[in-house]
Amino acid sequence: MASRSFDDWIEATARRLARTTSRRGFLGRLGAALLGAAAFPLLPVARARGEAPREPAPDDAALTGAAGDPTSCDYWRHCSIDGFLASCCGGTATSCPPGTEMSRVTWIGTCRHPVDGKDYIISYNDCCGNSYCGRCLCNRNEGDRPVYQPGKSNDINWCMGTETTAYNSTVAIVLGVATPSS
Amino acid sequence: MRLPRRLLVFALVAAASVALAAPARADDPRWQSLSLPAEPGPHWLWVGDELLHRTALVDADTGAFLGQVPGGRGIIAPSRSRDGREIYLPSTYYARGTRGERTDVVTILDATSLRTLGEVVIPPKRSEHTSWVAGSALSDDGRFLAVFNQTPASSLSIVDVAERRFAGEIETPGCGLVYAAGPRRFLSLCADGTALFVTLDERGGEASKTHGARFFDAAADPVTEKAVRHGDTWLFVSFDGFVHPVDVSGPEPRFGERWSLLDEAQRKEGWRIGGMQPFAVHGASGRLYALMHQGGVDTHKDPGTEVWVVDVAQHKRVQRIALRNPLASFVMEQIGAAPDGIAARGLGVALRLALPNPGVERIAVTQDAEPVLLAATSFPATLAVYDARSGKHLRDVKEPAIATMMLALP
Amino acid sequence: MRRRALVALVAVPGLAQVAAAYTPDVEYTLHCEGCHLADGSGSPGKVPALAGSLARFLRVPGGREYLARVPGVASAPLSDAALAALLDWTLRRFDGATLPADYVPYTAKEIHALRAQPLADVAATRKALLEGTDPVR
Repeated sequence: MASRSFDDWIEATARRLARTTSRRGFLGRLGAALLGAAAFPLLPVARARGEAPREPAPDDAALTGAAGDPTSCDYWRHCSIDGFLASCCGGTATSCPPGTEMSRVTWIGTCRHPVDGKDYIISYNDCCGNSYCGRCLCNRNEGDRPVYQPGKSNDINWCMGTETTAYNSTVAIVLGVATPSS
Repeated sequence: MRLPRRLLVFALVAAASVALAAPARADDPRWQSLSLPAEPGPHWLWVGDELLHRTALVDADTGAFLGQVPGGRGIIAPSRSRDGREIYLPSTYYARGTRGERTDVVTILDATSLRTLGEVVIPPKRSEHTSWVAGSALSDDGRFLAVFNQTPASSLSIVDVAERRFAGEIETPGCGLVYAAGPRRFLSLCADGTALFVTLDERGGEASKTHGARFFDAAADPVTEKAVRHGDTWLFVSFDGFVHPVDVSGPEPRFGERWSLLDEAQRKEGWRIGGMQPFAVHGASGRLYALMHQGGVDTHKDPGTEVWVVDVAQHKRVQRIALRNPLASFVMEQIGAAPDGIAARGLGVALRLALPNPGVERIAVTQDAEPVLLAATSFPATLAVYDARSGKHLRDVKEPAIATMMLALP
Repeated sequence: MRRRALVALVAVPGLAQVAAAYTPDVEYTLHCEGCHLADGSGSPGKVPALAGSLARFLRVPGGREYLARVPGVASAPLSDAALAALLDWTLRRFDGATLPADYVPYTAKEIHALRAQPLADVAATRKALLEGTDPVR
């Protein structure tokens, strides 16, 4: 039941985007989260989420400049990224390049959206099993903590859930809004 | 007669070849691989390279490249045996480079010939983290090398370097990294603000494992991984620039009162520690060198623009050393500008002002009476040498690496 | 993200903690999901599964304490109350069907005491506890 409503939500959102953005804009923003999620197979993480879906990722169309560019270190979701951007390496902000395997074990932080001001939960999954990409190296550290606090450290090579720890690049997937407690 | 003449000619040629070859080649360095002197020079430095998978030895005085030690993924600081004759380097290898069976080893090398003497296989769990600091430590008595593992569970792999055997793995739950803290003792930093002390028995097994008292605030202002040792006192520095001293000289570790690297005025101006190896200590003069930049909260890894020299005993800054723009140095090196020409100097100044400054990420200070300060940037890879007392820029070491990721004293 | 602006330090001497800024499901995502995953399946050989197995520990002496002493829980940057709520949420979410009838949620006081006693050896403790439970349930 919950799974079906999640699928409906994805489909409805994708349709909404197609209506409100021009075709050129649609293609030009292929790196945007929801397009990525609709165009590529859903991650096991997203698919396995059995509860009610959280608010969807914000529409990147509202952003200007580097804050809206998934190939930039200043992309709003990259507030605590450490590594090569998958979107520069044959992938997108939400999917890994060909020839790599996305690690499900990862570290998760939050970034504030520059337009709506909310804190979004960002999953910085690594793309693994291939050589270093070597392009678009970024290191921002909002909320980052030292390596002995592993759940909050972006220094760690998070290719821990894959066949090998050979690190290629990193994505930044929005899992939802960080809902404040009452 | 033909046959005897041929034989004679053959015999003469053979004799001449033997005379020319065997005794001459044995002593002739033209046909040998060189060896390093038994003692490292006072201004030698290991420079690890992430992309070339090696750590190189350079002479900061002459800029000479002395040799290199290859490793696998993630070169961390090599350890030198107590008698100076061996080098230990933990390494990670995949059978097919990026896939296949993973093998982690501690490679044992001869310190002068740099030839591999052997290896000890350890569990394939070695930590891989961006700064690469505190990934291994040799016990103060030189007998056991501890390697920090993270899978994400934490543990230490213990290698008996004298017997060249894997002694066992010791869990360090909730803690990470490894620092030598006594003859047979190691320290790990813990997420609850304490330190974990692991003491080994005669065979390298766990003799005891205890948490010290809480000595830093893990939530509000955690200490970074990038500690330096001053004598028998570890200086752990927090994100906000507070030094937390831990004296490991006695049977019981002693936690000193924390003190600030910066005064209030400097904090207001936004000065912060940053970089991947922000600290170095010159033991004899009791000076702590700290890589500093101006920035907001969460810039604890941003590269530095200058080095502050702080007197450890007095807790006061005694000097500021301005660092040259590494990108300008790199360009000067690439265009082959002679460092002393007037035109070249003018060009150097212009480039330092005009080009964006990527900042310096790692520093080291030699321990001799006329120390030099080394300042490295990873990409483009540059290594600048300064007089550690006057702060004067002395030279840049050419082509130290493709992507520098570790500085260590030999 | 602006964690430091959002959260207040709870003035408890000892463990540095922060009050819950977010709902328990979000706290799970921020502090647990990275390794234990959204479906609680973990990573074989590296990260224990929570789904269908977490409540087992409640049925063996020492197990309830164990769940609050494992490093990921004990050192989570959360106040005792927030951590108690998170642990309760996690139990119900991933193994709610097999919670013992006499299960009572963790209290902040209980968490405070337990997290101050870090485990020395997680693997050995876990193994011993599991051997004492009925693996069929």
